[in-house]
Amino acid sequence: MIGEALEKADLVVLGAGPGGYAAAFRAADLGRQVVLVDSEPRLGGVCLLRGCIPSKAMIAAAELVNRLRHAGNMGIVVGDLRLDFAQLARWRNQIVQDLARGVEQLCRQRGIRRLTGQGVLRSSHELFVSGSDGNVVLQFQHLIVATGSRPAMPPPFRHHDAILTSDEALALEHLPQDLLVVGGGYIGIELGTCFATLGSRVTIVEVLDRLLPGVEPELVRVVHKRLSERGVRIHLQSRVTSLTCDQGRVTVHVQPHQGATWSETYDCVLVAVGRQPRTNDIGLERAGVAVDDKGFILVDEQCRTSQKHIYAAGDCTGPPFLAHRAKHMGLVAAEVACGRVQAFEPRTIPIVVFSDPEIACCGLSEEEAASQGRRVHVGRFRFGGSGRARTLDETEGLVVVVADADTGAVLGVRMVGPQVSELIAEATLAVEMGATLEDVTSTIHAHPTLAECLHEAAEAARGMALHVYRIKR
Amino acid sequence: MIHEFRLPDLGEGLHEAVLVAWKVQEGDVVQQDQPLAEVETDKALSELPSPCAGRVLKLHWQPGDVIPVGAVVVTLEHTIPEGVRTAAGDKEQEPAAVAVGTEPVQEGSAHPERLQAEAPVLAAPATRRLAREHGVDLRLVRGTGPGGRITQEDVLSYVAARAAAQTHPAAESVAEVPFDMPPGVQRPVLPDFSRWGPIERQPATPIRRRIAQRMMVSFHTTAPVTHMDEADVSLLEDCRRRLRLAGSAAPKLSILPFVVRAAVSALQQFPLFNASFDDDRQEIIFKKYWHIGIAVDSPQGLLVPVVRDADRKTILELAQEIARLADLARSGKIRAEDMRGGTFTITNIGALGGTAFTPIINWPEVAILGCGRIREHLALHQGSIAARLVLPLILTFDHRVLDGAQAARFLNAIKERLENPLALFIEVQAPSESAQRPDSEPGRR
Repeated sequence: MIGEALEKADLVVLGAGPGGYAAAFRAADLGRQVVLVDSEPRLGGVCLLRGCIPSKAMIAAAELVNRLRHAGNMGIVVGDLRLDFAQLARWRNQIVQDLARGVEQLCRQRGIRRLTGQGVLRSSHELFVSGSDGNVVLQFQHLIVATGSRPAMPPPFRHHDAILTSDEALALEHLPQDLLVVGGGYIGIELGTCFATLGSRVTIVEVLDRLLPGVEPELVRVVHKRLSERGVRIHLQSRVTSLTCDQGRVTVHVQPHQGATWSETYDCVLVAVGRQPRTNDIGLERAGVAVDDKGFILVDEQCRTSQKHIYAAGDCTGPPFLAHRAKHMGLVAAEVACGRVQAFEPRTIPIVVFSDPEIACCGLSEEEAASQGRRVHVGRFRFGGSGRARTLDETEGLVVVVADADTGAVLGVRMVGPQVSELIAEATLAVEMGATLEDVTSTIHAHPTLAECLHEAAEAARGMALHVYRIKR
Repeated sequence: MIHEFRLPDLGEGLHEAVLVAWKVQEGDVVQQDQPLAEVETDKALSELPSPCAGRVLKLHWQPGDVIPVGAVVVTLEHTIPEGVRTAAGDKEQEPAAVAVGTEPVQEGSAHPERLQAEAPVLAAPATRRLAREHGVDLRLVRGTGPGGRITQEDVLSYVAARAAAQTHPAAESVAEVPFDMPPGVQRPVLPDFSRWGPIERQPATPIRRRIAQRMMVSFHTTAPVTHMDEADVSLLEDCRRRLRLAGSAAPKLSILPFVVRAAVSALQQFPLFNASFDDDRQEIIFKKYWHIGIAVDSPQGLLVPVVRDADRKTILELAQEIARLADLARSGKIRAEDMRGGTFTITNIGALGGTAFTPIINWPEVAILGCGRIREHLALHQGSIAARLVLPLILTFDHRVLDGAQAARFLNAIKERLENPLALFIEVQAPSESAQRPDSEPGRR
């Protein structure tokens, strides 16, 4: 150590993921002197560097492959489809590189000071940053913690060249031949589908009795069927008991709920069994910041921690682990730190799974509304009834609208089908605005589009669907 | 599902209520709208109906506690109405649970930012931000949008109404503000009574506090003088008894409606007694309507409901109206509106006894008439000694507006009418005449 520089700082943001950089940008725009600290030289965090963005690049490629392979109905027959995985990896990495540079430029334009290094709290007002440029102690007025989360790697799993988390899976430079995905949650499903479509033999092992726990069975069924059609083998109610690594391959032993233990050998094992907060090594206890028993930072609706001048945003405050949640919390934390009256109080945080086909949800499901004692009207519309879905040759899936029977307010929307990751935005706006079914049905939806399916489902919830005939209730 | 039932906005700018009694116990199963508790505000007693069907998990207060508006009163376990499917399975259903694995990260940690426990208020994000900026609890705002959605306009009009209530209290609610001591006078400090023996402290109920404040306002604002006399009501009592025997529609025709009738006639003859004094403008305000306040001894304390347009009512109608208002007051169902706008007050302590007392003027009125107990005494009547019935009459008047001689004449006018009841019956105003009078307070009834 070469000693340490002492620096006074107005507002420090620890972590440069979507929560952290959003907070830093907003605080700078509101006139604060901001220091942004991250252990990585590139900005963007897991989302940009090892999560949402690279995975969507890979999934987009897989979708294209898929469409080409199944374009026979349209008279398009591709004889020899060849995948240059190395080129795909270059394209993917370039997207990440460009976006990270973009964030960096925006950061520079705002006059935000950047420090690269591991940030550790020394006290409630001091952050020690040890980096390549030397050691700095930041004496801050306000701190926003946005250190995010990391993939969990519980025993019997351990880090090994052939045992990957999503971090490594999204940095692969070659296509694995045999891939085991442990965990049927959204990361496992997205990456499993993607690699299977690109040509890997994929097996999914999930402890629970269905894929995507937490998502309605009605939606999961569509995805499960498609995975099976793609040749993905799915083992539910099964648990990996041990792994043995031999010459770059991994033999995995699996104990199903019923029946005998089986074992198989794979090139790679992707462990996608959850995420842990990155809060254990940043000195929160020295600053008096309270965490729960799992290590998530406790925050109030203003994103304040137990120390009123320290805020937290994003995955480090707990699930759901979503970049858009982190971003909004970061903005709220920054505005509150700047003295504005703000709160993180969304009625809903939309959820999107880039499975095949995609799943998207916002607001309450029928079950959740019922468990709140609400009387609901539910409307369904299948993509098979949509002219646009037909012309895309994507007819699997449906839209479900749940509305309050008394007020007509849209409580929630569930979708599985083509491009629902985009369609959910309108539904989210409706839920957040407290829109009623009539508001939705009175809004003219362009024809022919997939968006009309939400309109139709809302009409169905009012008992007035045009393109479904049903006897009046 | 757990429902936290909060004390709703009680209207009239009220911020708290006193819990009088629970109507349910913890563990009880209740229906929607079943009364949960009886609460008292400084206006009236009322019942809190259950917002839903369910089971009572917890009662959060003790009788006698002061509950602020918005505080949780009762925790209910909501039962799901019939016909609605319940959540299937016994697994914990997490909203938006797409965290991938099972270990080590499980969803559902008790987390302060889980906000959707209570059914959310229907309002767009920008409206919610506006409400937050103005410190408005949206649960207290009535939404005018479709499906009861709260608009930005709803929030702003709530804010305006709240500000108006704070800066321009209605004249009647002046006494809601704790009364200040007159300039230069300090409120004396109470001694420590427990030095001399055991004591018990009880919080004053809102009605008691309001009575105390109103009395202090009157005491410090008016210049009261009390004038007393007696009326020979033998003839009137004879009439009354005969009317009752004749099976009149009024089941219990007391002397009070006759006194009201006599007082209204005297007030019309002496308009200064039906007036108020405007200190700021040094003006006397004559009221061209005759709304008579009747002091009622209710279980919660003194209440003064007002008989509207007493000049236009027959004695029978007065008797019915007094009975109706007294019932409402005694059962705690009287509305604040029923106790406003009086021009003169009558307090009848007669039933309880007493020869004389000194009533306090019901400010901003300028006079109050008290009635003692009718008693039989020996008197010289038309040259011979006879047993006569005598009603003590007490008039307290505001000497700022009225003088002793006027008071004597006013009380004489009442006395004469009570002693010669025929006068009461010939003076009733013709309905046609009164109908022509424009209603001075449109919409108040």
